[in-house]
This record gives sequence, structure tokens and C-alpha cells, in this order.
Amino acid sequence: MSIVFEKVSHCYLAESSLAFKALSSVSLTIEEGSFTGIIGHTGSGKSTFLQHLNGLLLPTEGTVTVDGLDTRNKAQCRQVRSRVGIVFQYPEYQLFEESVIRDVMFGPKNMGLSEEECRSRAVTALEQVGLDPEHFSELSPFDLSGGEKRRVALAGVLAMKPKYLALDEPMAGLDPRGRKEIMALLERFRKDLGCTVIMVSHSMDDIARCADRVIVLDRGSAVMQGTPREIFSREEELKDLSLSVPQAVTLSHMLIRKGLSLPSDLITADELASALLREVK
Amino acid sequence: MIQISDVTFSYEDAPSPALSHVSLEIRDGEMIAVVGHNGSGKSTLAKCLNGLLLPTEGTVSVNGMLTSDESSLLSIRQHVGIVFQNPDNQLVTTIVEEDVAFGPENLGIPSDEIRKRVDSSLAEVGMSSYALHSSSTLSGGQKQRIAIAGMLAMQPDVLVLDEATAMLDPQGHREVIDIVERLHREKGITIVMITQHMEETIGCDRIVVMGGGQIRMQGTPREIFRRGSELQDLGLDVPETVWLRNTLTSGGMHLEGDPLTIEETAEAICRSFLKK
Repeated sequence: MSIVFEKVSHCYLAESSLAFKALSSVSLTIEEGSFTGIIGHTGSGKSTFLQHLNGLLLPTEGTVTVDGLDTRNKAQCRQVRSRVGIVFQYPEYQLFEESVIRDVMFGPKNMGLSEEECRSRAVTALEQVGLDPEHFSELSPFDLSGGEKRRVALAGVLAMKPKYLALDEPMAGLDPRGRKEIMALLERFRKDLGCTVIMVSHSMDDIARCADRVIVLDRGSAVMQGTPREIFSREEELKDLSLSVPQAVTLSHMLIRKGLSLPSDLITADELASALLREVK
Repeated sequence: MIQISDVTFSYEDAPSPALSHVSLEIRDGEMIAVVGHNGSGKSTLAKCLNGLLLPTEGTVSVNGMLTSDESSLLSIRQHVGIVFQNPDNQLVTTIVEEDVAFGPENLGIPSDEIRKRVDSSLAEVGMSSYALHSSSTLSGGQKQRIAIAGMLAMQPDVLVLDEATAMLDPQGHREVIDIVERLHREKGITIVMITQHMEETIGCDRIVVMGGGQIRMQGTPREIFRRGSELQDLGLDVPETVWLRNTLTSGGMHLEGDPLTIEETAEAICRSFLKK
């Protein structure tokens, strides 16, 4: 099963003189089990795209289907909402309950589940994001550190047991340790829970490390799609779109220009280090 | 010069102080990076630099004026400008040039002088052609550049960037960093860069590492990056180039000259291969 965009366009304020087309005829498929990275500069349509994944926004033209369910069909859209969880930028600002456990239970409650079921899901979700439920459940979310708050927000989405997890810049504003923790969490969701992950990020290094598909948006169109290796080999085109490549790509291209014989498709520092050490031996 | 002497700061109702006995001297014309994990106290420190927060204990003095002296505050804020993280909540007016004029207007500067300052500040950040644009239509990077122009119009000696690039895309990030580096190089403005991006600290004169409300390390980038495991213990990391160098060195490659930037690293790797 998968999420399929078919010629999706979205126009804000369509009937007015301020009409603005934020997505234009986007067609793509997000396969179940994949880790898809979405890149594009500010204003390229990333947020509009993300909100189409679970019907928060509906296409003004074309269709979005999730496992065959059409987001424009009201009854089907309800099911879509429980399959696709979205974590927005700086989700910690959206915490509002008096205790961590109640905040995490909010989503499942809205799905109409019993108090008992909600609580057990919330406990599991807190464990999944690495927060000990014993310790954290009754604390106020506002007394936690930035990294902890972000994980509570993430738990709130996980408690709805989404099949697809979409995140907008999940690592922004976190320190290096916090970034690594979130990254490891996402890898685990995918491996252990079989979650499909869709991540918007400005960090090409992060995308190179964890994504297996990359979609590049520019002025509302999906202008490139492929594996990170395919996408990051197109350095010049990315530059034209005001995007960059991972540092390891810049460095290995520099080394190749200086005459070193290296594979031209290295995208992470790990790969570059191994390739160089192989050359030495 | 900014002199921070034995500063402790506690937020109301907080179980432990956000800053505890911090002393630091920021010299004129220096470019310094302050790094630290989330909650290490770096933003609190930034807000103490121009009296937005007053220390619970200890003192902060700017060119000899104490931030605790209310009659000096206006003058201190003119000397020390801060650009914050979120581009969407720092602009106060609807038109770009009015926003840049806001600071000098509040200082009571004559209007023809304000005009000059607004024009030159906008030119400095490369936004002259946007003078009459509505600020809400700008990109994040452009908004941060306008925020910087607003500071420049007050002719500060010190510019503090409190994670000013954290919410920007790579292009916006580059734009802001380029401008800041140029202001430091060409106009001698003292820069205090508060950041989580270790890559941004490479070009600084000095790095101050915070942890748990205290200064845990300070030194040149080269000195600090040699202490990678201590940085990791503090929730931080070395830049990727340093990680690569360490990995190559421990794998038996010999790299000369302590490279930091991508260019230096490429140079050093090539030299090492040529010697073979």
C-alpha cells in the first residue's frame, strides 16, 4: 500500500485576486516502508505538501489517496487521519495538557478509544520515544527540557499508531545529542514498527544518512525524485534551486577534481572515510 | 568590551539557576561562538548581554556601564544588538524601511540622519531594493537580514546572534552568515554567535562551551575540537570535517596541518596521498 499523489494542485484563496498556487500538478508515490526525504527552499510548497498527506488540506485539483482511501471523501478521510500522523515544526509549542500522560492521550481519545486503551497506548508511546512513563507521566509538559518536550509531542502522534509518520524539520533547534536521538528514534520506528517515514529537512546531511527516497520541491512542483545517491549527484541543478548537497559530497567532488580516484557517488562522511582508507591500503 | 563577572541567573520558580557563576570577557572586535546543549544557559547569557535579563547575582558591564544601572540601559542597548531565532516575531512594522528606522527613531535621532542610516544599513545587508516592500512577504533569511539592518541602524559595536539561523533554509543560513562575517571583517563589529551548529563555529576566534549553566571549556576552534569526547559528554559534537579527520587518522592516514574547513581538509588529504 502507499500514498499516491495524482496531478495534485493546491491554490490558496482560489477565488480571489490573491490566488496563489502552492502546489502544481504534483504526481508521486510514497511506498509503504520507505523513508522519504522532502527538500526544497522556503516557499517551495513543502508545508502545503505535508498537509495534503492526511487531508488537512484538500487538493483543488487532482487526488491524494492513502492506501486507496481518497482524502476528499469525508468518511475515508477519517480513516486517513488515523493512518497518517503529522508532526509539525516545533511541535513542543502545541503541548497544552496539565500532565504529560494526558497530552499523549489526547489523540487516541479523539479517535474515540476507551480511557483504558488510551492510557495503555500513551504509556507505550512514551516508552517508544525513550521517556520513562513512571517518571514522566504526571509531570507538567511545561517543566520539561526542549528535547523532552519534542519527544512528548512525538509520542502524542505515535499513540495514534500511524502507519505513516510525516515530520516537518523534526531536528530543528535541537542540540547535536538531541538530533541524534530523534534520528535514532525514526530509524527504530521504521525497523521495529514498520512505520513509513516522511521527513522534511533542510539538512542534506541528515537526508543522506537516513532517507532511501528523496523528493525535491521547487515552486510547487516535484522537480526531482530518486534515491539520495541519484539526487545528490546532481549538485549543479540543486545549486540552481538554492539547495546544497551534503558536506561529504562537496568534499569528495573536490578530491576527485584534485585527481584522487574515488567513487563519485559517496554521500555520507562514513562512506567517504571508508573509501579513502581503502585507497590508502 | 563586555565583562561578565560571576553572574548567576535564576528564572522564577525554577529548581536550579539557568546560569551559575559565569565569568567571561568579550573583547572588542572578537568573533566568539557560544555553544551548549538545549537548556545549557546560552540564550539566558545572551539576554544578559544587553540587560534584557538582569543577573540575580554578579554584574555585566558594557564599555564600563553596568546593565543593572537603569539610566545606562538605553545606551547599552544601542551598543549591543541582539537578533533572535524566530524571523517571524522580530519585525515590528509592516514596511521594511520603517522597521529598520524603528531603533534610531526610538533613540531620538534626527530624521535626515535616520534616512541615511536606513539606506546604508539596508545596503549593508543587500536589501536596498526591498525598502518599500511589506515585511510579511519576505523569506526567513530576508527577515533576519532586515532584523540585522535594524540593529546596524543603531550603530552597535556588538552584534549578538541568538541561534539566528536555526529556522532558516540552507540559502537563508548562508546569506545571514556571510553578512555577519563581513560585518566583522570589514567594520570590526564584535560578534557573539550563539549556535547549535558546530560548523558555524569553525571561523570564530574563540569558542565558549556551556553546560548546565556554566562555562565548561573555552579556546580556539582547534583547541576545542581536539576534545571531541568531552564535547560529546556535553551533548555536542565536532564538525563533520573534524570527525572525518579523526577517523582517517585513526585508520592510519597521516594528515598534516590540523585542517578545519572543507577546503583545508581536501588539501590535507591530497597532500597525504601525494606523499605515498
